[in-house]
Amino acid sequence: MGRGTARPFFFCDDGRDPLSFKSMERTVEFASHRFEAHTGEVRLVLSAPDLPALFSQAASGLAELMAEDAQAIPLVDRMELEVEGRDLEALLVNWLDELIYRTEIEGRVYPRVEWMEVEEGHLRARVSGGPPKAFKTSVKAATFHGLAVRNAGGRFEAAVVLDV
Amino acid sequence: MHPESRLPEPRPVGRKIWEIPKEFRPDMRVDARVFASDELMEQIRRDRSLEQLINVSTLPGLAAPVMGMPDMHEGYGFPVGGVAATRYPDGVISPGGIGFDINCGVRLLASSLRREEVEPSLGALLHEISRSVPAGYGRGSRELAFSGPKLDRLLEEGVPLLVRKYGIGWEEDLPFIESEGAIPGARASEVSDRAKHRGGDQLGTLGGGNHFLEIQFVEDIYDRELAKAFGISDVGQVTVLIHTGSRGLGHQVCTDYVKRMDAVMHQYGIHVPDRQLACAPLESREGKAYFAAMCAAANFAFCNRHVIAHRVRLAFEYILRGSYGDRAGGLRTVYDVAHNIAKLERYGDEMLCVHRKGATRAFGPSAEELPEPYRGFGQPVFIPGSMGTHSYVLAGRDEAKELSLASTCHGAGRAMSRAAAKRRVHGGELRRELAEHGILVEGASNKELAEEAPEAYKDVDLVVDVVHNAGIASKVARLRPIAVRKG
Repeated sequence: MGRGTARPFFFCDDGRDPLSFKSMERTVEFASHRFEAHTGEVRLVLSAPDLPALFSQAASGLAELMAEDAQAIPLVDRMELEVEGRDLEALLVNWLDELIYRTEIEGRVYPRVEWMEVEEGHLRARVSGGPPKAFKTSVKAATFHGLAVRNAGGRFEAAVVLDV
Repeated sequence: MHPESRLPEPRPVGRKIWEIPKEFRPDMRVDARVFASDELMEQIRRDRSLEQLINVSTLPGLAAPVMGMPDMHEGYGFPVGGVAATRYPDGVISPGGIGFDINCGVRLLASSLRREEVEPSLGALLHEISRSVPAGYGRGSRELAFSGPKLDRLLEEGVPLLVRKYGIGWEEDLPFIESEGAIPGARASEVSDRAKHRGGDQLGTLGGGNHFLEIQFVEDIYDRELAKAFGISDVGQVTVLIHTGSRGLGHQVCTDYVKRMDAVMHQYGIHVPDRQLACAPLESREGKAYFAAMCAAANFAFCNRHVIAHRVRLAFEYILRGSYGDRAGGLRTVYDVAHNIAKLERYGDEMLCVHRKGATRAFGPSAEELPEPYRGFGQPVFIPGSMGTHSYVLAGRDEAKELSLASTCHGAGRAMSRAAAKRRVHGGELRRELAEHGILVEGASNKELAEEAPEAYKDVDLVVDVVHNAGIASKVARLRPIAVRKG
């Protein structure tokens, strides 16, 4: 996978704090997301010990941006999603775009990733979510602007600008 | 940031005009030109918009300097307030040069009413408009949902179809919409099912972000002759300004084609400093498909503003008991103009594809494309200020063709991030302040209000003075809001 690994990653939600989960093989460390200032848009900054955790943080951050109180949304809807991309950056943009599309047509946000599998150019995941109390920021799309998914000292990092 | 990037130092070269010569960076193909006062240039330097404009100057097939308008600010790929013209047919087209909200734009309606006649019913009027024009995220109005062949026809035939087949709006509106509300070359077959699904039931909806609908009055007139030509007769006259775009349909068209061009551009030997500038030759399969899909999405946006205008007329009729929904007493369309679009335009012997991202076309009095009543006067341009502040009506000048590729600014332009605005401004207090100034607001939480606070934007007076003094567009009138339906 270039900067990642050809071995699939698995992320299983075992019901614990989503920021400190157990993978199939090892206990992984803290994953995070935060929002950085951008004059016109929003920059979502992600950091995680592996790719599934990075992509899960992207989903969680997106939901937080789009909905009031995203972490309190009743997880009443589940669905499996598949996304492709010619590299990690395209995979991340396409993953976010898929969630943005689903939110717009279903009226649901999906803050929780139950499991995820990331292989070269391909991502499969089961997400769960539900209707938020209120929508907050309208997100049009994820962009490639200045985007690089980096593996820095064993941690994956990315900053993606969202058009809002 | 580009590896060879130094901080660009634009040099003044004329009245409110600055340039960064193409020698500044080895991959620049043309100069970069910015229209700004000293004060606005200072604000522009604070974010990455100049670097982004320089990145745009590396696109293949550019026919003229890339331009930055005085409201320019950092975007993604292209700066917002950026203009780039590529040669047709051998230049490129870049979906990022138009943006996700294809044909985001503004329509101005001028009524025959005076402020005093509307103000007693203003609350009821705003409420009725808010009821009939959905705003915010996601799904739209199911009563006007288009899908299948019906949607395909709308995407290709645009506003004339709404008027002639569905009885929405008037025949008299058509000449006063850019491209008469139907851009030739639109092809629904190039718009994905996903885009159609995402936007098909969003016709007549404002959406979110900085979109809005305002009831305003004419506060000042700068040029009586031009104002009269545009149907703006006197101070105190009530107008309505509608600012929205192509909704989810347009967003998805851009998403689809950025992805498609990102995958193929290396096959055409194209390398860009920022992947969001992904592009393809205008005559390539991908270039032609995007242009046809972009025109279809633009037609959808013209239709969206047209349906909203229709509903505004009905609301005026219902609340004020007049004949505003018919031709006799109505709210006349002054003009409807895009500020996120690419158009094929002739400059001398050359046909150019002019990308305007957060910039408005500003044809001068001699342009053949103008509707007959505006020939000799210029194309109306509307510059909305930030929420609660005034907006301007301008008229394009012939000099703009040479100076700025017949382009001007599109708004006040953000100066502060949404997060910073929320930290600095208390939404509840802002709502009270707006009310004290006689401005009603519906459709926004206090947090959303704070994001769009006037201090988060550049000063629209400074922005408009630049284009006026540079000879791009002349000030015609200033409009002051009295009621805002926020997206």
